[in-house]
Amino acid sequence: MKRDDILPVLYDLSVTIGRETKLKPLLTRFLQRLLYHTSYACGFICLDIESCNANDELTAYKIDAAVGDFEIISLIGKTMVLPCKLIHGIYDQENEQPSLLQKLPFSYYQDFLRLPIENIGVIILLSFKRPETNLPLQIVFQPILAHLAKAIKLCRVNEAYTDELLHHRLLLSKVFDSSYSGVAIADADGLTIEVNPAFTRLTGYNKDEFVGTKPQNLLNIIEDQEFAKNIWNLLKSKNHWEGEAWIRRKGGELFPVWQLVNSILGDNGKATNYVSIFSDISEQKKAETKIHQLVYFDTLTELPNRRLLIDKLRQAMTIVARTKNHGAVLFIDLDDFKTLNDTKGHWVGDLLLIEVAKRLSASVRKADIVSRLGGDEFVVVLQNLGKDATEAAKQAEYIAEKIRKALSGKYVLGKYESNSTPSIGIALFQGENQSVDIVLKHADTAMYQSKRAGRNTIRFFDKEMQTLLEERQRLADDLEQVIEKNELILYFQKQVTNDNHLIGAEVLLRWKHPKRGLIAPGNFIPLAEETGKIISIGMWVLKQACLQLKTWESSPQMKNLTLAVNVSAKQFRIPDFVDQVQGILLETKANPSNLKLELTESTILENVEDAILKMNQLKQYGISFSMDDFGTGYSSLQYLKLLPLKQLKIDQGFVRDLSISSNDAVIVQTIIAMTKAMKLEVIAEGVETEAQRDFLEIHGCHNFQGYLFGKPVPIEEFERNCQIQH
Amino acid sequence: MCKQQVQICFLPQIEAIELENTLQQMQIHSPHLGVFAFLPEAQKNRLDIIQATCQKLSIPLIGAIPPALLKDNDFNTEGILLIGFEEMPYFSLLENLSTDPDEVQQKTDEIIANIHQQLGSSSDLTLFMVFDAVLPNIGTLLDNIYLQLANRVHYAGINVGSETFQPMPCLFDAEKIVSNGLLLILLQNNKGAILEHGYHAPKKVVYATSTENNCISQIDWRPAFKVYQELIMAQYGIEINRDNFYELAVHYPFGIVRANHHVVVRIPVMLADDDSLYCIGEVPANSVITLLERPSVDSGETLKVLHEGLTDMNGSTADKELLLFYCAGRRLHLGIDVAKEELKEFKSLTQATLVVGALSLGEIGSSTLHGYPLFQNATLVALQC
Repeated sequence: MKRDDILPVLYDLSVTIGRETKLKPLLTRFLQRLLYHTSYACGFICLDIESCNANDELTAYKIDAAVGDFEIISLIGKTMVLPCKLIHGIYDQENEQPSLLQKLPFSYYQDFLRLPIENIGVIILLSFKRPETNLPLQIVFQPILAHLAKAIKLCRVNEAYTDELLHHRLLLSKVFDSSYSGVAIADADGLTIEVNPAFTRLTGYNKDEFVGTKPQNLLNIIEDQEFAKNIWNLLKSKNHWEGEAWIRRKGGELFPVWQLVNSILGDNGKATNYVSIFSDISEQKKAETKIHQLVYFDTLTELPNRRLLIDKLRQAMTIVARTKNHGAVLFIDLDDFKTLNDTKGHWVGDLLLIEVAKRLSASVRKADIVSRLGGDEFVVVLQNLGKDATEAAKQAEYIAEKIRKALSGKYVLGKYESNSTPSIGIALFQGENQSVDIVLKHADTAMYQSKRAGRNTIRFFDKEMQTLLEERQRLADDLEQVIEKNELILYFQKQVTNDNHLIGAEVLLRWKHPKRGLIAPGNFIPLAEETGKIISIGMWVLKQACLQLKTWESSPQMKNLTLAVNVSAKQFRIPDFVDQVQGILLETKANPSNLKLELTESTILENVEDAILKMNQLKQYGISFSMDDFGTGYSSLQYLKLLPLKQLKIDQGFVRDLSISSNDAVIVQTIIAMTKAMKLEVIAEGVETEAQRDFLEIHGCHNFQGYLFGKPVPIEEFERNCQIQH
Repeated sequence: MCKQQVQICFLPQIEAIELENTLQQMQIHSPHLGVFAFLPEAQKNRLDIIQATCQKLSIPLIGAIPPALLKDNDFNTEGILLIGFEEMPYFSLLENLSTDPDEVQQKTDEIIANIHQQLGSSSDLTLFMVFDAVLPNIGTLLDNIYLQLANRVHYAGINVGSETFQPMPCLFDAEKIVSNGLLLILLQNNKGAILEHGYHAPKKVVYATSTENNCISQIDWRPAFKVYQELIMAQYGIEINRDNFYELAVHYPFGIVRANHHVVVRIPVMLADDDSLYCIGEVPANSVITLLERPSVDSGETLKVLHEGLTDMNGSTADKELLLFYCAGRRLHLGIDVAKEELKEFKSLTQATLVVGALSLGEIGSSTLHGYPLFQNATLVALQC
C-alpha cells in the first residue's frame, strides 16, 4: 500500500463502517475490507479484552469476528488461547514478533499486524509474508479504528434496543398468534392487512384468501351486510363498536360471535387502522337456548311451561284487548291420572303425558298456545275468537270438544294400554281488566265443575262461582290490612276443673269487619292460611295473649291463669318461630309458664323432627304445649311419646256425640287412658252438657272447656265473669 | 482437473453413437464414472443427446454452456469437452438465484452447510464454481461463501452463457438445464487455479460513487458514462459515444484498484439510457476504479505468472494435461489472432501434453495460493488436471 492509496482506502473503510447497523456484520465486513486493502491473508477481532498481569502468559480470548482462516472462523463466539502480549501490544515489533507467532495455535503465518480499536478491542491481521508497504499502518488506520470503536458502541446500543423491540414484538406476535379470539387488522380503508391463526380457524379463510392480492373488507365476514354498514358508520363516529354478530364461515356455516371493533387513531386523530376481535359464542348461545328451554319449557312434553304460558297469555290478553276480540283459556285435567301413576308407575304416567301433549298440539290451530302447567294439568289458550261473546263461546266449546275427543280413548303406553279422558274448564276473556291469574283461576274452577259433573266433560266458568270467588278475593284484600286497621279482637273461653275452678282460657280470634260485622274464624282463618297472612295474625294473637298475661300478673285472681293460644301450621313452620316467640316474651315480659301453645296433630306431623326441636326449645323457656283436636288425625303413639307435650285436648267432635255414639265414647275413654299412661294432662273441649261433663269426669278427664262453663267472650266480659265467680 | 484419475476427451462433433462409445470406453476405465461436460453455445440444442446418453449409461452428468471451447491453440464452437471423474465429486446445481440480500445470505448458508458435510480431512480441496454470467451479484455470492469457508478450500471458477450476454439457460445436469444458476463442484486433492490478466493500472483513479450490483450509475458523483467519455478522451484522445460504445468499450475496461495494486478488471458491456454503465461482474459501492491502459496487456508476463503459479502449486507442468479458461472479453480486446497466439505460447511454456478448456465470461480465482478469491474479467485461469 502506497501513500496515495491511503485516502481511498480510509474512505472505503469509513463507508463500510457506515453501512452496517449490527455488530457482527460490522466487524466482519470491516475486517474483510481491511484484508482486501492490506493483502493480509486473514484476521480476527477480540472485543472487551481483559488486562493481563503476567506478560508471558497465554490467555483465552473470545473471538468476536474472523475472516480468511477457516479454523479461526470456527472459533467465532468461542475462545482461543493467545499470547497476552500479542493482544495487548506489549512487545518489541521487530524482535519479539517471531516468538509471539510461534505461540499461536497455527504456525503457518509469518507476520502479523496488531490494530487496537481504542480501549474496547483489538484487530490482529495475519499473513504468510509481510505485505509490501513502508507505511506505519497502525497510525494510518488509527482514525478509522476510532470511528470503528464508536460504531461498535452504537451497534451494541442499537442491538440492545432492537433486541428489546424484537422481544416485545415477539411477545405481541405470540399473543396475536396464540389468541383464542379471531383478530383481523385493516388499513384506513377497512381493507384487511393481517389476520391471526384463530381468525383462520374460526372463519375458514386463510390469510392469503382474506388479505392476499385482493384484500377483503374487515367486516365482510358478517352475514348481514346492512348491519356491517351500520357498524362501519358507528366506528367512524365513535371509534368503537362492540356487540353480537353472525359470521358466515367459508364453508357456509353461520355462527355467532361477540365482536369488538376499534379504530386506531393517528396523531391527526384520524383512523389509520381498524382492529376487529371476535370470539365464537356458539357454546354460550347453546347454553342460553338450553337455559331458555329449561326455564320456559316443560322438559317432559317440550310444551311451554307455566312461566311461558303466563307470558304468552299476557300477550294474548293485550292483543284481544286491542282488537276487542275474545280469547279463551281451556284448563284440561286428565281424569284418574293419579290412579294410573300409582298403579302403573311414573314412567307410564309420563308416557301418557307425552302422548296427550302430542294430541293436544295436533288438535289446535297454529296460533293457539298449548302448555303444561305441571302434573296432569294442561292449558290451551285460544285467540281471535271474535267480538261476539256467544260466538266466541261456541268456537271455544267446539275446540274444547275436539280436544276432549282427541284425548279420550285408548293410549298405548309402552307395554300397557290405558284409557283416559279429560275434564275441561273454559274461561273466556276480553279486555285488560282481567288479570292472567284470575283468568287461569276461572278456567281451573270450571275444570273442577267439570270434574264434579262426572268427568270427561266440558264446563264454562260459572258466573255465580265467579262472584263467590271475587267476594273471597275482596275478603283476602281486606284481610291484608286487618292488623293495621285494628279489626281483630280476642275472645276468651274459660277452661275449668271438675270443681268448676277456673284454670285459664283459650284465646279465640274474631274479625270485626267494618262492613260485614263480626266474622267467625272459620270464615277467614282458612283464607289467611292460604294467603300466608296467618303468620302475622298468629304472632299478633300471641303478643296480645302475652300482654294480657302480663296485665293479669298484678291481679291476685288472674295471675295464675293459663292462656292457650292456637298456632297454625304455617306459623309454626317458619324457621325463626322460636326466636319470634322469645322476642314477644322478652318484649311483653309475660310469664312463659302461663302460656300454653296449642298445636294440631297435622302441624306436628308435617315435620316431626323440626316440631320436636322447636317445642323443646320453647319448653326450656317455660312454655307448655297442648295437642289440639287430638284424635281427629292419624294419632300415633310412636311420635306422641317423643313430643314434649303437657296436655292433650279431646276434640269437641268426640265430646259432642258422646251420648249418641258408642264409638266416640270408646275413643274418648281410650284417649283419657292413654294420657294417664303417658302422664299427660287431658282437657275436653266443646263440653256443653252436664252428662258430657259427668262422662268425662267418671273416665278421668277433669279439665273442661265449653259452653257449659262459658262462651268465648271479649276480655272485659271474661274478666268481669271471673270476678263474679270469685 | 484433479488428482483423482481424470479422463479428458474432446469430441469435435456430437454424434450420439460416437458419444455413447466414448462414454462407454471411459466407463471401462472408471466404472463409477461421473462426467463434467462443456458444450459450446452454438451446440446447445445437442444437450438432449448428451443427457439421454448419460441417462442411458447411468452416468452422473453436470455441465455448462460457454460461448466456445478451447483445445490446444484454437477456439471451437462445435464439439464437446468431456471431463470424466473416476467418481463424481460432490456437486450442487442451484437455479434462479435471488438478488435479495437476505435470500442470498440464506442460500449461501444452505450451500455452506452442505459443503461442510463434505469437507472431511483432506487439506487440498478446490471449490470450482460455474456461474450463469447474467447473475448480477456473483461478487456478493462469492464474498458470502468466502466469509464462511475462508482458506478451507481453494477457489476457482468461470462464468458461462451466451457471448452476447443474452439470458440463456447454461448450466445442466442429466435431467435439466437451469437459468440464473450456479454449479458448485468440490474437487478433492486439488490445489486450485491460477488467474492472471496482466493489465496495468495508471495512477489516475476515480470513485464509483453510486453502484448497484454490476451497474455503475455514478463516477465521482457524476453520471458514469460522462466521466467514462472524459477519461477516454483525456487518456487516449478517443471520443466514445452511444453509437460506438459497443465497439470500443471492450478495449477500455475499468479496473477496480486494490491496495496491493492488484487490479480487478470490469468490462463495460451495456450503456443504459440514464448513462449508467453495466459491467460483467459486480462493482462494489465506493470502489476505487481506474481506466485501464490501452492495450498494455503483457501477454508474456501473464503467461509467465500462470506458469510459475501452476509450477509452485503442483510442480512441473511438463507432460501434464491442463485446463485453461480464457476470457471472451480479453479475446475481443486482443483480437482472435493474438488470443490464439497466447494459447500457443501457454502450451509451449508449460510443455503440457494437452490444454483444453473454454471461453469464459468472467473468471474466479486468485493470483496467489490462499489468495482472496475475486471475480475477474479479461483473465486466464489455469488448473492442472
